[in-house]
Amino acid sequence: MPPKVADENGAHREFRGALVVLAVAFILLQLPEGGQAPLASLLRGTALRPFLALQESRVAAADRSARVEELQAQIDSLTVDAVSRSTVVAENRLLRGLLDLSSELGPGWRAVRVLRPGTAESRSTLLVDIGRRDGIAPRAPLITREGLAGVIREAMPSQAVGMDWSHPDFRASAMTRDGFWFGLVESRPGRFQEASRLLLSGVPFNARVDAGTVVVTSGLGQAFPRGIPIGRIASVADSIGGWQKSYWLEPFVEVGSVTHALVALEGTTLRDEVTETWTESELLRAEERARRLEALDDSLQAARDSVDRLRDSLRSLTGDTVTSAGGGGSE
Amino acid sequence: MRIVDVVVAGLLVLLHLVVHVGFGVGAAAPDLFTLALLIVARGLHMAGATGLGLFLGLLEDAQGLLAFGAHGFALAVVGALAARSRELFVGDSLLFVGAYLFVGKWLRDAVYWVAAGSQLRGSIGEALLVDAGLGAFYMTVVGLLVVFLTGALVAPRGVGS
Repeated sequence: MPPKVADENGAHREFRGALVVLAVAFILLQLPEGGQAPLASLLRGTALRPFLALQESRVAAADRSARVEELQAQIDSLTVDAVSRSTVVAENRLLRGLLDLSSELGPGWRAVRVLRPGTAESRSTLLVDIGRRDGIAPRAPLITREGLAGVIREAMPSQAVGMDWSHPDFRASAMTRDGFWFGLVESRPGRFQEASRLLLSGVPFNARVDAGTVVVTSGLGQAFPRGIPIGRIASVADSIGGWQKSYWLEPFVEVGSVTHALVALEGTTLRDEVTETWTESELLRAEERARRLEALDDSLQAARDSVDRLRDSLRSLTGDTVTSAGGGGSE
Repeated sequence: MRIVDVVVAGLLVLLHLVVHVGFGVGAAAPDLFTLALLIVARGLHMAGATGLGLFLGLLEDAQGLLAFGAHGFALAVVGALAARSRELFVGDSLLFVGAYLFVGKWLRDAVYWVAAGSQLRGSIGEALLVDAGLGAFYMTVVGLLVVFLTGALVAPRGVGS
């Protein structure tokens, strides 16, 4: 056969082959769905299988990622909730403490909101949201559940300005709680407010005051009622000339965290003794009180759980008895 | 048929499956099936190129639920014409290769538009001028890059030619 004829035959064969394939393609296109589905399924289960598996794992990974983001968002919400709740709990505890204190001290004391000016120059100064119109007068003591926080210096018609114990001018006549040793408590300002300390000075040289002894206001001079807690003896600060001693105090009130307090109204008798308002077990700093309350809550919860368990045991025992009694009767 | 064309086409097919099926990238990725077919078809017999087009098209069809066989038919037609074009047009300039790829891809989309049926096809202007035009341009750019980098599709040049 001549080459040209062979080429033509080959071309015709190729063309016929292509036409056959195109016909197959056309037939596949026209097949009913029931005929197409098995072929599609076959291709998905063989040639496309690894790529479909890749797609599945990618989608699963995206789902997991979305789930992680969702969980993270939930954790964030819970954290915010817990943080805000702890603030509310702390404020609740503070206000409850003031309510208790207020009921024990009587009507001559009024609850106030304490504001801080916030400038460096006004350190140790505080603003009270009621003033002369409401019965506030200069030199009125400012107290919290923990003890003496400060004193009012100036009363304006609708607000008052006071100083907390960290102010350099703060002074309070004081004594040990047993009333044995007397002295004067004064502030020793530090470089910043939290570094300020209280000093009990003028204690006789022969006095032996142990660390941890509670110091309260003495009532002398009638500036403060007798018995408001100030702090605990921390250590000996100095011995002056062999005739008097001074002691560093650990104050009960942390002035930076005071947001609410009680102020004595004008005309309140400051000569009264308020020592009994704070029992021995209540002489605590705010954080010690919070820890004690938390421990108390835990104990209460544990007691509640024990009671529940006992009740369950009793119920099951009673149920058994009833069941066995019923069983005996039927036999 | 040159080995480089086969290797490049094989890699393109694999890449198409990974990108389109595995990672679910839609129109953002170019149509590498058609590019692979156009590269390899000029070295194949007409029946072989048509069969290859049908097979690749059916792989595409198997991913969808509607118009099964439309991609297969479209790629089979493109494979047949691409193989036939070897005897009608000769050239290895970038302009020729670019035109070949553009027309091949546009034709594939046009045949698919016809074969997909009236329920699936959009308006002719949007499908053939906008979508098919943009798709063809995108694939042509990628195809020229592949050809430039690998030397596939174009015949090897002698020194000084």
